[in-house]
Order: sequence, then C-alpha cells, then structure tokens
Amino acid sequence: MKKYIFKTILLLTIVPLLFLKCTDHFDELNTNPTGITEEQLEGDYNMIGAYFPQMQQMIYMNYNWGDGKDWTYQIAQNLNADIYSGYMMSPTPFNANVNNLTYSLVDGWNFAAWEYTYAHFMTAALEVEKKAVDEYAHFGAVAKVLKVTAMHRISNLYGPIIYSEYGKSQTGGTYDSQKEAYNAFFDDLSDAVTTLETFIQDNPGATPFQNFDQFFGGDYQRWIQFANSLRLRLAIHIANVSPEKARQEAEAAVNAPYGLMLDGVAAVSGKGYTHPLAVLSSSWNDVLMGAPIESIMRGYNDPRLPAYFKPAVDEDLISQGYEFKGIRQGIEIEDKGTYVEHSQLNISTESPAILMTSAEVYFLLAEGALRGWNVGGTAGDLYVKGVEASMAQWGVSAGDYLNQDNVAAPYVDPIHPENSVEEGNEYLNNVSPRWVEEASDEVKQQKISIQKWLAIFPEGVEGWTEVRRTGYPKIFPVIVNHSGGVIPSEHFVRRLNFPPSERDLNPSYSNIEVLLNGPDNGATPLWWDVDLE
Amino acid sequence: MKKTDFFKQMLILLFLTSIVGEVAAQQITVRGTVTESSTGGEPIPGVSVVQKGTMNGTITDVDGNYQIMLPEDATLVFSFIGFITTEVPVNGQEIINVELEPSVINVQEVVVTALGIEKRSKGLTYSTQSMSGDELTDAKDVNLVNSLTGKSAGVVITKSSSGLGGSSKMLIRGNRSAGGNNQPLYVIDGMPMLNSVSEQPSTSIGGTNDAGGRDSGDGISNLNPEDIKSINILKGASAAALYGTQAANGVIVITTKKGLAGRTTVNVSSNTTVESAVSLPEFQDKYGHSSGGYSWGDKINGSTDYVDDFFKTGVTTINSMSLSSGSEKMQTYFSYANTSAKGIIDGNKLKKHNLNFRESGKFFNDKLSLDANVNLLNQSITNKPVAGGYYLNPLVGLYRFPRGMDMQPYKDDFEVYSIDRNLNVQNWHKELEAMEQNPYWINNRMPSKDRRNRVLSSLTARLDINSNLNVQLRGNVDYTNDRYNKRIYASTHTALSGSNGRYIVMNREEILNYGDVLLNYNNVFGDVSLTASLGASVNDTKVRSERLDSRPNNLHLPNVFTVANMDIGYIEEMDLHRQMQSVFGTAQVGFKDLLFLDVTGRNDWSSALANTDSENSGFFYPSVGVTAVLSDMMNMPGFIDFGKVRGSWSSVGNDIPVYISNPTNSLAAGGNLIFNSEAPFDNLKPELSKSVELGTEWRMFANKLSLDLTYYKTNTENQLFTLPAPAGSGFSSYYVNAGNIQNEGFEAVVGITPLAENDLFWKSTINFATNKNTVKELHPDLKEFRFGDQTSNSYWMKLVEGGSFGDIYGVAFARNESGEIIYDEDNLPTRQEEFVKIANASPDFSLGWNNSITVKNFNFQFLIDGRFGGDAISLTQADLDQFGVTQETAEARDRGYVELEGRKINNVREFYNRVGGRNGISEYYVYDATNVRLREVILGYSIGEEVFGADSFVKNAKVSLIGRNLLFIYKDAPYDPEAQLSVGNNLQGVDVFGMPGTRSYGLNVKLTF
Repeated sequence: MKKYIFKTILLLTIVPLLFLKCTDHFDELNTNPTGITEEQLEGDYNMIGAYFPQMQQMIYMNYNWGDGKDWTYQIAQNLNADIYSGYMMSPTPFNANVNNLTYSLVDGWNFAAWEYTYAHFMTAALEVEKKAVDEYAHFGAVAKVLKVTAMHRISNLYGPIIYSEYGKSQTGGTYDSQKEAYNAFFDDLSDAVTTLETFIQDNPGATPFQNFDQFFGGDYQRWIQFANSLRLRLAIHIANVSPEKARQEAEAAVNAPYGLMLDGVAAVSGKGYTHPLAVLSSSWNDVLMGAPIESIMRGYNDPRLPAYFKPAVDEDLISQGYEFKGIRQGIEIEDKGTYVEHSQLNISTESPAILMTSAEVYFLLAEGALRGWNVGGTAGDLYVKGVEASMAQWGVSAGDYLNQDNVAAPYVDPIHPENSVEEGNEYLNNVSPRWVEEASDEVKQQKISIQKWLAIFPEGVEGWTEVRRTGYPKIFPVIVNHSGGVIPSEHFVRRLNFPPSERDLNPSYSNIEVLLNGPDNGATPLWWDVDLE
Repeated sequence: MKKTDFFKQMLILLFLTSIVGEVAAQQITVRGTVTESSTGGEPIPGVSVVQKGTMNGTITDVDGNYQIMLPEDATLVFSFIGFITTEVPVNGQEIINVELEPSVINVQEVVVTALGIEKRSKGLTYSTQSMSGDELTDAKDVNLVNSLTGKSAGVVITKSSSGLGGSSKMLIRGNRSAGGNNQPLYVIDGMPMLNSVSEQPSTSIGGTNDAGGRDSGDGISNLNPEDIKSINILKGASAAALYGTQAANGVIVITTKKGLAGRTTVNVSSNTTVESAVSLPEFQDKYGHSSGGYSWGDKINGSTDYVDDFFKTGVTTINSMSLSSGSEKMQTYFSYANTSAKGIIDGNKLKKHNLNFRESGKFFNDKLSLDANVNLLNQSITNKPVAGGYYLNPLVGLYRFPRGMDMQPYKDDFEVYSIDRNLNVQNWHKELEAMEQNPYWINNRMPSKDRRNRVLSSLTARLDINSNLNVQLRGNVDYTNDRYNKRIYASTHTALSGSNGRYIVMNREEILNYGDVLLNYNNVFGDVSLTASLGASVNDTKVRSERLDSRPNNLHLPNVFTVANMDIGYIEEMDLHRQMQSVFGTAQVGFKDLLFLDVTGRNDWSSALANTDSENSGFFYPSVGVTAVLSDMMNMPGFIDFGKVRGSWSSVGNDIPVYISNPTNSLAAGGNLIFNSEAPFDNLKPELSKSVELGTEWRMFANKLSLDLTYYKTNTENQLFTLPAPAGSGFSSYYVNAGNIQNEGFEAVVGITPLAENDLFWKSTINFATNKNTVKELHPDLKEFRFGDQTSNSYWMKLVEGGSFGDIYGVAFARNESGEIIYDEDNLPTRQEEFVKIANASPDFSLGWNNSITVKNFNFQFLIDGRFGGDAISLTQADLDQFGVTQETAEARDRGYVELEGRKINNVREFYNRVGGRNGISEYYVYDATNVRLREVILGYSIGEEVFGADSFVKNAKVSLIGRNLLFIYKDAPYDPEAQLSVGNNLQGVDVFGMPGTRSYGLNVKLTF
C-alpha cells in the first residue's frame, strides 16, 4: 500500500517536471517560422536588393503588400490625378456622385498616395540607405533616384512632404516645404549620379543590380541618363517660380556625362508587376476615356488614338459615328450604366507602367530652349523630335501630323448634350500640331505642353502637373461642383488635402498653412503653381 | 522563486505529509457520501465533516464524498449552511453515508472557482453567478452561450449577425482592452479550453482579401449543453486572479456531468424550433423604379414582397441522449447529440454531432481517483452567409431591388447562357457593382463550406494522501481542425473574382496542451480554518493555418475549384506557438466561520515575452480579499437569515500576441518579399488590469428575498497599441504599452420567491448592471486609437482620451455657432468634412427579469431583458433611403417634404441623397439602442412516478413549449441592436446589411428512463 502511494507521488511530481523545463527555449519558440530572416536573404544581395521590387512597384502604387492591388492605385492616383489631368474619367457615380470628381475631396481616397508611399516605399528606401554603405553604395544611389521618382510625384499631389527629415522622428515628421523638397531632390540626384559614375568607372561592365531592376535591366548608364532627365523635368517644373535655379539645374543635367534619356522609356515591368489601369478600365469599367483628350486627339486625327484607347461599344455612339468617346469630368451621373460603354483604355496588365518617356525629354528641352536656356538645340527642332519619338514609341507613323492645322475638336456628349463643349468655347485648345516659328511664345508653350501631355499619357500625376503649371492643355471645368464654394470650377482643383492621419497625428502639421502659403484644401496652388496672368 | 526550487520544496512537502499519515495510522479511515434528502439523493459538496470536539475535519468534494481518519469511538459532525447539523457516532464503521435535511429552502453553497477549486460561497470575497445545466437545455440555442443572455448581471452577450453556427461575444463588466482580447477564458472541469474566433469582419465593406465579412465561429458553441452540469461565471478579476495573465476578462467555469453511482439513468431529449426573420427594414410599395436601379419613380400599385419571399423558415432540431451509470468504484457517463439546422437563407445548413464519454473510478482503497473524458465534435456548415458588409452579401441586392419591379425573373434565371463563353453567367437588372449583385446568384453560385472536427480530452488523477491533503495532476488536449472553402463562379463582379471565378481554401488547426499539478490542503485549527492550494502549470498552444485565395489573380479553367486550378494571388500562412509556464498558490483563512481572508498569487512566464526585458522575471499577479459574515457576528433582526460584506483587490493580466517582440520579414504570394517595417518592441508587457471590488449579500424572510450588490472599478493599463507609425518615422507601424481604460460599475442581483407552497412555487430573479467606461489615458503621442481600417463608409470606431469604448465617429451635419444645421442654396443640409463623434454603442445599464412559476406539474418560465441607453447606427437604412425603397422615403414623398429639426425640406430625393448612402451624413442614422424584449418563454409539463408508476420503464417525462426572442417590448433602431457585425472589438453598434435577427419557437421533449 505505502509502496503504491510513494510511487504514485513520485510519478505525479516527476511527470510535470519532465515537460516543465524552463524558459530557455522561449527565444526560439517566439520566432515566427513563416518569417524570413536576414541570413536567408544574404545570397544574391537579397538583403539589399530585395527591397527594390517593392520600391519600384510602389511608385505607381501596384505592389501587393497583402492588401491586394489595383484598388490601391485606384484611390491613390486614378480617382484624382489621372482624371484631373484630363486623360480619363470614371463612369461610376461613387458616393452618389459626391466625390473627388465633383470637387468634394474624399479623405478616404486621398490618404492613400501619402500613407501607402510612406508605409511601403519610404520605409524600404530608408533600410536600403542604411545598408548601402561602402561596396554597396551603388544600391543606395539607385534608391536615391527612385526616392526622387516617387516623392516628387507625392509632392506634386500634396505640396510639402516629409523628405529630408524622414526617419528621424517616432511621433510625426518634419515637413519640407515644396521648395525645400525640390532642393533636396536636386541634391539627391546629383549625388546619385556621381556615385553611379564612379561605380561604372571602377567596375566596367558589372551589373550587380540586374536581378532587381524593373526599369533598365541593370544598366547603370541608363539609370544615370534617367536621373539626369528627371533633374531636367524638375528644373522645368520650377521654371516659373525659380527661373535661375531652374536654368542652372537644367543646364547641369544637359551637360552631364552619359547625357539624357533620349531613347526608350523609363517604365516598371516584370516580377509579377501588372498595370493597374488594365483592371480598372477593362475589368471594373471604373475609368474610361476623358473628354479633353478625346477633343484633342480626335481634332488632331492623332494616329496614337487607337493605341491609347479602345473604340466605344455603345451601339448608339457607333451609329452616330463616334468611334472613340470620352466622358466629361464633374457632370451629373445618375448611374454607372449611363456612360459605361464609352471608350476603355487600351492597356493590358502586361503593359509596362511608364514613368518617363524620351519624347518628354525632348519637350523638356524644347521648353528650355524657348526660355533661352543653353540646351543644345532650338525649340522647334526639339519639338519635332519629341513628337517623332512619341509616335515611334507607340509604333505608329506620324504621317502629315506635324503639317496639319487642325485644332482640338468640340466635345459632344450624345447622352446629355448639356455637357457638350461647343465650337468656339474658350476651353477648347485652338492650336494645331504644326510648329510655327513665327507664333508667339505663348502659343509655342501651348503646343509643347499639349504634345508633352499627349506623350506622357497615361501618367496622370505628371499630366496634371503640366496642366496646372502651364494651364495647357486647356481642360474642361466641372459642371457639378460639390466643394461647397471652396474650389471655384474655373479655378480647377490645384492639389489634394493632407490625409487625416497627418492632420490628426503629426504635431508638425500645425505649421502647414505657412508651408502651403494657404489653407490645406484643394484650392491652394502648390509652390511652383504660380499665376501666369 | 525559480521553478526548480519550487518543485524541490513541493517534493519535500509531499514526503513529509506521507510520513505524517503513517503516524496517524492507528486510527481508522471513514469515508462516505453526503446527500440531500429532499432531492432524492443529490450529493452535497462542501459539507463540513469534523470529528466532534477536535480540529480534525474535512469537507466533501464535488460529488459529496468525504474521507477522514479518526479514532473508532469518535463522533462525526456534518454541518452545512441551510441544512440541519447532523451528528453520527462512528462505532467502528468504515462507511458512513449521511442524508442531510434542509433547514430552510436550499441555497447553492459551494461554487467551483478558479482551477476547479471548490469553495464555500459563504467565504467568497468576490462576486460569482452560477447557472445550472438546465438553464441551457430547457430552451436550447445552437450556441449555448446565447442561453445565458439576460441571466447574469454585468454579463453582456451579443451574437454575430451571421446566422447558423455564428459566434457569440460574452463581455463581462465592459471592454477593457483596446487592441487585445475582451472575451473571458473558458475553463472546463478546471482546465482551459479553446474558444478562438479565427476570423471576424474587420471592415464594414469587405473581409479578408475582400472575400466578404466571414464569421469563423467560436469554440464554446461546440459543446453539447446536455453535458453541462453547471456554469459559474467568475466576473471580476479577483475571482479569476488565479489565472494570472488570462484573468483580466473573467472566467467561465464549466463543470460537466459524470456518471453517478448506484443507478442507471438514460435521458433522451428532443428539441425542435422554427426560426423566422424579424427586424427587417420597412419597405415602401407606393413608388416604383427610376433609372439606375433606384425607386424614386412614379406611383405604383403595390409591390410583391420579394424580401419576405427570400427568407425561409429555419428549422433546428437537436436530439440528444445520455446514459449515466456506475458503482461505488466506477462511474460512466456517455452522451450523444445530433444537431441539424436549416437557416433562414436558402442553402444554409448546419449539422453537428457531439459524442462524450467519461469514466471515473477509484483505486487503492479509494485513495486514488481517476477521471477521464473524451469529447468529440464533428460539425459542418454549408453556405454560411456573411455577417454583413457590402461584399458578397445577398441582402444588398435584395433590399435595394426597385420596388414594383418583378424579382421573379432574377430569381428563376439568376444566370443565363452566354454564347461567348459557353457557360451560364450572372443575370441582374442593372450593371453589376462589386457591392451589389444578384442575391440569388450569391446564394447559389458562391457556395461555401465550414467543417470542424474537434477532440477535447482530459485526464485527472487525484491522490488523497490523508484527510487533509491531496495532490492532483491534470492534463488536457484540445485539438480543433477547421477546413473552409468558398467557390465563386465566373461572372461574379470582376472586383471580387477573376474572369474564371475565384476559389478560397483554408485549413487551420489549433492545439492546446495543458497540464497542471495542484496540492490541496485543508484543515481546521480550533476557530481557524485553512484551505490552501499550491500548483504549477504549462499551457502550450499552437495554431497552424494556410489560406489560399486566387484573387486578385484568376482560375485557369472557369468554374473548376481545385487548388491546381488556382493562380494564387493571396496567401496567409500562420504558424503560431505560445507557451506559458506558471506557478501559483492560494489560501483562505477563516476565523470562527465568520471572517475570511483570501489571497492568491501567480507568476507567469510567457514565450510571447521572449526578447523583452521581462523574459526571465515573468509577471506576478496577486489578489487579496476579505469577507465578514455580519449575520454571524452580531445580532440581526429576525427576518435576516444571512448577511455578509466582502471586498477584494487584484492585479491581473491580458496576454499579448506572439512574435511581436521579434518581427521578421515575410513573403507574399508570388514570392514578393515583404520587409518588416515594424519597429521592434523590446520593452513589451502584457496588459495589466487592477481592480477593486466591494460587495454585500443578504438573505431575508426565510430566504424568500436575496440581495447581492457589487461595486467594482477596473483600470487596465499597459494597453498594447499597434499604431500605424507616423509617415516620417521610417516605420510603418510600431507598438507601445500605454493607456488606462477604466470600467466602473454596479451590479445587483435580487432574488424573490413570492410564492412557495407545495403546489405553487414562483421564483423571480432580477439582474441589474451598469458599467461606465472611460478612456483615462492613451499614449502622449497618440491622439486617438482607431479600430479597423479606414473605409469610405461614414462609420469609424475610435478611442480618444476622455471618451469611452464604443465611441462611434461619422459624418455630422455642419452647424453654426448656435447649433443649427447649415443649409446650402438648395435648402439641403450640409455636412462636416471631418469625422466627429456621433454615437456610443455601450448601454447605460442592462436589466434582466427571469421568472420560474411552478403549478403542480406545470412549469412556466419567462425572461424579459433589456439594454437601456447607448446608440445604434444603421448604414443599411442610410443606403436604402438613398435608393428610395424604404417606408420613410415613401412617407416623405406622400407628405411632400422631410422635416429635419423643425425645417421642411421639399426636395425629398436630394435630401436622402445627401444624408443617405453608405458615406452620407451618418448622424442622421443614429438610433437609440435601447431595447427590451421577451427573450425566453418556456411552458412545460412534467409527468413523473405518479403517472408512470414506480416500476415503469419510463421514470420521468417533460414536454415544453419554448420560444426565444418572441417580441420586442421596446426597440427604436431599424434592426436588432444585439446582433453585431463582429464579435471582436471592431464594428460595434453598426448595422451594414447584417443578417436579420430571428424569432424561434418550438417543442422540447425530455424523457428519463
């Protein structure tokens, strides 16, 4: 009897001790087996390089970080800049037609470009910059170029951004005014180019970035040309507000070794990247052709038209002879069915997401020449080269495009004729593609802007920037305006509101009206958006 | 104290006590069972058994058994409150069974507390509320937790609006944790069980990867209510303190049935109820279709009731049988239950099988007791509807359907042949939207299946070393496997499916391994009694799950739902492992049976705290409580039978998620590396709840009136906030431990027995509870804590300092300085740009009134309960108003205007276009959430021996008519505010096309053989 009791006690006490060891194994236990460690990433430079696909895809907002994609692009860019630029319009009356497109700015959309870029692009860029020292400096240089590529777009949406002080605060972040941000962009591009030049010199023929490059297949020379061209773009952006700085930067870019990107495009593709506009337009029918681009391309008989858009499928439109039909922004839309059979974008998921074209570089040079800068050519020659480069890029023949005197066509809304923009309306672009040397600088600027805008398509942020900066091409004002008087229709929307997270959580936000030189709303022009009249 | 030291000491203690046992061996061991004479032999636990004139004593266990060593010629004294004290001379007998006569009406005296330790309620220093198993089985619900609604003060039960097999949320004394768990710990026979809710809707639109707001179901609903003997709710942190890190939200202690010695009993019960939808929106039938699928058209002559036609009558049948048998040495309990239910939506079905086998026995002169239990569950649910939200929800298209139009063609032909594709495609009266599709297509062409297999098994061994000391070793394994798949056919809206369809497949398993050792000691030293336990435990849980989803990619072949056919676009892979090691102790010292001091202490080491500053020290959770039985201390007026006051203080925790102290990079579908952008948190702590509880209990007029009052205050600090990092910080998110959320409340339980004759018995219980939640503090850098994702709906839950849990933010009317609404040039109200607080979902107080009236063989029970105060928002109503399908819009059109705060607005349609819709002015859709309902009615008739005769095969029969949720006595909101989109912390107080509530009534038959 006693024996049993003794044995049982022993058993009852020892058994738990066997499985109750101690907490030494907790470190191992508290490591996520589905996580990826730094050690697992060392091969093939993944510890730095693997950040790049995320960064490159985040620029044009179609990186799937677990929340899905396409819709992210839709709210980050498509439902603002892509439409404000005049390229596109949605047939969908989101929120009973009270939304961005009728100038009631939707915080629930407009936060996205800001928050997603900071959460998924800038965090990665910061890590790369931390790791890209010594022999990895060239990775850091590419990251800098990408940072400027991504962040100048963000600045052109909102104005001030967190850039030079990024990563230094746990609780918010100090804003750069747009002017300060542009200065930092120029510095970063110049630094990056120097680093890459040195790398090419020291390691001729080496392509360590090839595995991660979704732009240029690892060719650092092309990266330098792109960086120089970006510098030129930024210089033109500020030409009206800061002409001297603009000239210096532009001339430095033009004269840099390896030169500008005068052929091909800078575009993101591969590694599973898909063009978000394909899904938005063809699958969701949430974005179709805009009325302003229809007016210009139809008026010009632009050979690129079928490359940009698909014919409308609405039987009524076809029977009335409208092969391509766009929708005007800011109109009464009762239901989605009304305009949904207008022209879709001719973009497939495999199309690369173009961020800059060589055609644009020629137009940047043309505008520089028009301003009297030393860019190695005349405005007229460079303008023609730009148009030809764009036609070549889209695989169409220019024909007599550059010799015709057609102006933009009136816009007809066959469903609701009150939305039409009739012949003689001041918002129709009354210039032709033909370069006329005797024309005024104003007309020349308009022609350069229109052609540049056409060549940039479908990159709405840059397209909207051109419209805001130069007033060209002219686009059509909204008819339905739900801004409550904040944004007058003829003034057009100038920027996006800061996201609520910044408003509510960032202590630096208290200074924002000073940095913006106006209230944080859609009517306040950006720093470079100066009144030309 | 290092754990190894602890075990050494315990070993020494064990040896010492066995030697002590040997010294006393010249005496004899007496054992027996104490039963209650009035109930025909129900065992009474907790009876004090003392050798007369000495300090030698013990108490009976949960089965009424005792064992004591004493001289052959001693006399035993059996005493228990509510019963007449009985003395029995031993005279050398080794077995003494005693029947106690009740002195007054029986009162529950022993409660099963933390870790299964039984304590006399007289000495408890905190509030608990017990319920017998009958309360769960008289009017059964598929989820047994719902049967507790309204029956306990301070316990709020809400259920998911996801129909059959849906989860329920039990909230005890308010929400404490902003980001963590607010549900209690469930403990079954002293050991924890899983009650994980793996998925809940997180936004008012979508769900995981926009697959609709899915409710995965919970763990507690898996149990068979017939197996449950009693449920005891340990409401406060003090009551639960012995569970340390898991104690903050209270503990539900479930005791299950086991075989009884002596007779074989077979129980058969059958419960059938029919359910119908209630609280549907009110539709108009005066104005017809206008373009765009709205109902702002011309007058019509009525409309077919396609909404009523859509909902079916649900039927739930629960059949169960149990067998209980045994000898003094061995007892067996076996049960089987079969649940078969048809939901109110076509195709929604639930099937459930529960099998339970329990064997208990005594060995080695009854010194060793073994108790083993195996519980099996198999459950499948087909086509479980989404809990709400816009995506994949048939109710959106159904409710929005233009009035006066004929639904029949879209019901009969929800799909039509497509010559382009050579397959059938969805047919709807207008352009499909991601948020609105044909409801019959959703019902028929998005089939889903939820399958669960679960094994819950346990073993308890108890060794009685002597009459004062025993050691107990327990372990259990709870294994749950869930498989889920959803097939979405081609031609579903392309935002939610590839052109060839979409397939989601998920496999999840969760394992809980638990083991503990517990050393229990009790003794009486003159005026002082001591009950003490020391123990240690290991709690190890693993979750492994994989979810594959073809969206945003596609299927290769249309409408072929296999993994090989998927171009996988979304992967969620989880492998979570958590281990908690603990040592704990508790002691209760009683003085003269009228003053008690209760202390507990527990130290937890959690693996989730590896790599943090507190990895080695763990966290210590103490509690202390005092009770004074006033009625024994001083002379009370004659009508007072019993009175006591109690007070307690405790400090307990709420565990944190694993791995956050050690964030890593991860891979997304397609091999995309997702770099960690979370700031690592090396000073992580579990949440800490400090609480104070004061209470008093009284029984008067021969127990016809009882009163239990409790005041409590809980402050929960070190809240874990998962914050989206500021844009400029270099991280996308980071964690902080901060904040202080306070819950302060008052509970009253009043029991009245107005009638207590032999043939007529009426017992009535009133439960009252109020809780005030205050966010005393957040983080200095954190202005507000947000629940869930930002969506374009006009609804958001947020916490701000000075606010409270359940604060709802939305779009309000723009107002001038004197508070008047600002109108625009069209005489329409204007809105504020920024979200402001428009409502709070938490009730001010809740009240339950439960009655049981017995007249001879008839038994009539009814429960009325209500929640008073708080707000409810209906985005359903907002959306439907915009579409012009609601009765309100028709009345406004008849009238010619809408009146808003005294102003007439003539443009009715534009008004509803402005305030309605999912992102309109949600302030307009705030309703009073107060609701009072007749929750439960039972009318039963029992037949016993007097009819069947003493020798009959059938011993007892009871037939009951039952009804649940029969009618609202008061309700303002256009839906049932008790149904929630989520049983988590998000999405409270809002309805977004949630499944309607149901009313059910039926028949329950119980037979005992």
